Amino acid sequence: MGFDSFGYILIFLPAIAILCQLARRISSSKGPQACILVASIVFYAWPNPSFLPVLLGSVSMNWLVAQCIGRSNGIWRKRILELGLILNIGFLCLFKYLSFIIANVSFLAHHDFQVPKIAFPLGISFFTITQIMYLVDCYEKQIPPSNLFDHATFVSFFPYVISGPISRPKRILNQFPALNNGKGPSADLVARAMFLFSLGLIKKVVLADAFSKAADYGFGNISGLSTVEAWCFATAYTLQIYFDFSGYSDMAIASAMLLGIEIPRNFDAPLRSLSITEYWQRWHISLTAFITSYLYTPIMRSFKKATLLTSVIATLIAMTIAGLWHGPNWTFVVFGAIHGTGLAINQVWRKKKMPTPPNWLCWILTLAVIDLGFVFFHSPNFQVALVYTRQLFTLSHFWGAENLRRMDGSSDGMGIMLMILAFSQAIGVVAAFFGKSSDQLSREFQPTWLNLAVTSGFTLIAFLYLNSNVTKPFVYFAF
Amino acid sequence: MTARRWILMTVGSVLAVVGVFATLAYAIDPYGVLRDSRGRKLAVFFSERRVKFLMNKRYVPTNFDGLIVGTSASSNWTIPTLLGYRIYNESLSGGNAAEERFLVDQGLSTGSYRFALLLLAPPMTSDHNLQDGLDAVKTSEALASFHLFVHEAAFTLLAMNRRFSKSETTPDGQYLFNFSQNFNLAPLEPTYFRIDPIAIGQYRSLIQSLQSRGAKIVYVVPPLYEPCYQLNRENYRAYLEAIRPLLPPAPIIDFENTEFNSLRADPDNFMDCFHVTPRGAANVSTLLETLIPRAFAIKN
Repeated sequence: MGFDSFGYILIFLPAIAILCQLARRISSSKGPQACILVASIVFYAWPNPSFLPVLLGSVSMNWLVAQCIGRSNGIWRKRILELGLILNIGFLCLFKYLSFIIANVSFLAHHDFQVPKIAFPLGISFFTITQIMYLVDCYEKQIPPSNLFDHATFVSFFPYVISGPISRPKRILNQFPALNNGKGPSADLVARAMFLFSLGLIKKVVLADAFSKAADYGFGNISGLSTVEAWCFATAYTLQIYFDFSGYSDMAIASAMLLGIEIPRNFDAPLRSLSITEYWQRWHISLTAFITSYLYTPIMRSFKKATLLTSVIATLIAMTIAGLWHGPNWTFVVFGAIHGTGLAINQVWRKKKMPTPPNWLCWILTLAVIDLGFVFFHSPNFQVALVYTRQLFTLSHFWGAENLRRMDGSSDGMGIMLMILAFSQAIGVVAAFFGKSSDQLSREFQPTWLNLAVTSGFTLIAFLYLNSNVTKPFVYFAF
Repeated sequence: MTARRWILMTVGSVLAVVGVFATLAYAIDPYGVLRDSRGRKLAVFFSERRVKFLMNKRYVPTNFDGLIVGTSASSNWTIPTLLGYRIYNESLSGGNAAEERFLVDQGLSTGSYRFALLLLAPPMTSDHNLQDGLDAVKTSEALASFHLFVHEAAFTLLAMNRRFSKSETTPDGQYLFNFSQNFNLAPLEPTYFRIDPIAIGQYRSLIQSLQSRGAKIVYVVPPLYEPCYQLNRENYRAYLEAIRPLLPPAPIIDFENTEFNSLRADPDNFMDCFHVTPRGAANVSTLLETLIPRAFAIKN
């Protein structure tokens, strides 16, 4: 049951919101939270119940480790944290990276080791790092270890359990008393949630899928692309993943808002960034916060002295790890390394006070690095990524738009779909490069006639797409 | 406006628009799936697979007793009645046995057929992919979807006596394509004649389902433009010899036989090596109207 399904939009979410509100009125003090926990378990188990024990096992294990951290002092406290981190990383490796590790060991050892086939539980990357944050925060006494009920509700909270936004434990846990004892979300907040949900829905269902058609065509015909076409199709993929993931995040934030819980924003018009540093302050903001606090800072602390060089090294290591977090493939490592290099160059450039290029050039260079990163991100293997990268920089076939023309499928009698797709893509380009972020639009929201028309119109258009069965699964479900 | 009023009006306007569109869809019902479609003649214009899927839910089993099951090679054959049965052309452009089974199963879940003409051509059994999301089509698409809106627009234009230029599938299921002649006289790749085990399994199941519900079966090997046929003759004969024992026994009308040389040799009958022109389709159809009763007479 994805956010972009009729079951979720018309039944699950409204039912949970109503049940929570009823629980506030008629039940004991923990009623709304119990509703949310049960709903989260149902939501997680719905597509594949066999993954539920993995989530519950991880929740129980981390709760126990946090209790032990809370009750111990000195070196034991640190040892228990280390054990917790090893268990979490081991847990992630077992389900996500084991076949990758074995395949690489086989390659290096020139021996064909059997690769076990272990199913990849939905959202494991997200709920594992959420709990790593929780353990570290408990260790650093930023929060006390919570009871199992609170911990399970916080980790499995259905708006973010599968694909984020990655939420700091303190921020969510501190909202539970108000959730249970307050009056529930105000009409203003519900209206804002509906508006934000409709923005997310249209981004995912209409805009992301329109760009995916172009990106799929480009990545399916790499060898015939001109340089210009290669950049166009790479940008199409960048736009696809932006609308896909930011649309998902908008729907997650709006879903939580309907229940009276505020979760962090994840995107802030990232494709308008003028540097890679700015990009990571605007793209997947909750992951950036995790990388900064839980990877970059500890790596920096491990150096004896903080210098520009150690900062560059820490950035490269942190971003490469963040790249690998996305998936068990060397292409993700390179994706992280490209961004790490971009960030490092930004750091050096700023530290050495080198002249700032004009904004338009900064924007083009930033977008070029983002596109290059996503070429590796999208490619199934290193060979494909390298072939595509060669097309990006080849001078022998620079101009040419044959594939851009052919992509429309007009020869197959798909002219009507082409018109719809081209219109959606044009809207998407304007929205991504010139428009306000959903977060900003939602903060500025007022219950006006215009917003009523926008929310109703977007919802109806999205419903039409959903009912026409032309939508694709969320890209980040794969992680 | 207060937030509470805004919420009510937003939800209300969405429900109102959905209600209006659903009512309109019910009234027009271009696929004959929402209400009784007996006696209706429904032509469609777009998204052939999805549309035929929906029509097979109710319209086809209600209004027809027989089917032509095939690919684009048979999609413009025009045989409204055969052996006294009303025939619906179930053929799909680029179709295969798995897709055809998917369509026919929809009809068999609510009705039955008395006759089926089944194409014996390599594309039917070379793969089993379901294209254009055929396996994900929902009946609710008849209430609101892109293809429904195209049909509603087409119906409106036709009701206003305005021409709708999109290609049309007739109420009998024929797809009336007509493109310029282009004969590519080159040997076909051996993979063209590959028999996919899943596809042949699907074809066998489709035929057995029809037979178990009392349908008479006849196989037809479609005509190919003679020079193309001669270039690939050995492969075609080998394909037919390989496939015949894999399918349930039934009479076969083979347009590759010498008696049909004149049909195959006339370029005016063909748009390319595989597809017949409207004139060729009429010739094939006329021949089938004579040959099929004869085939059953001989059998009996």
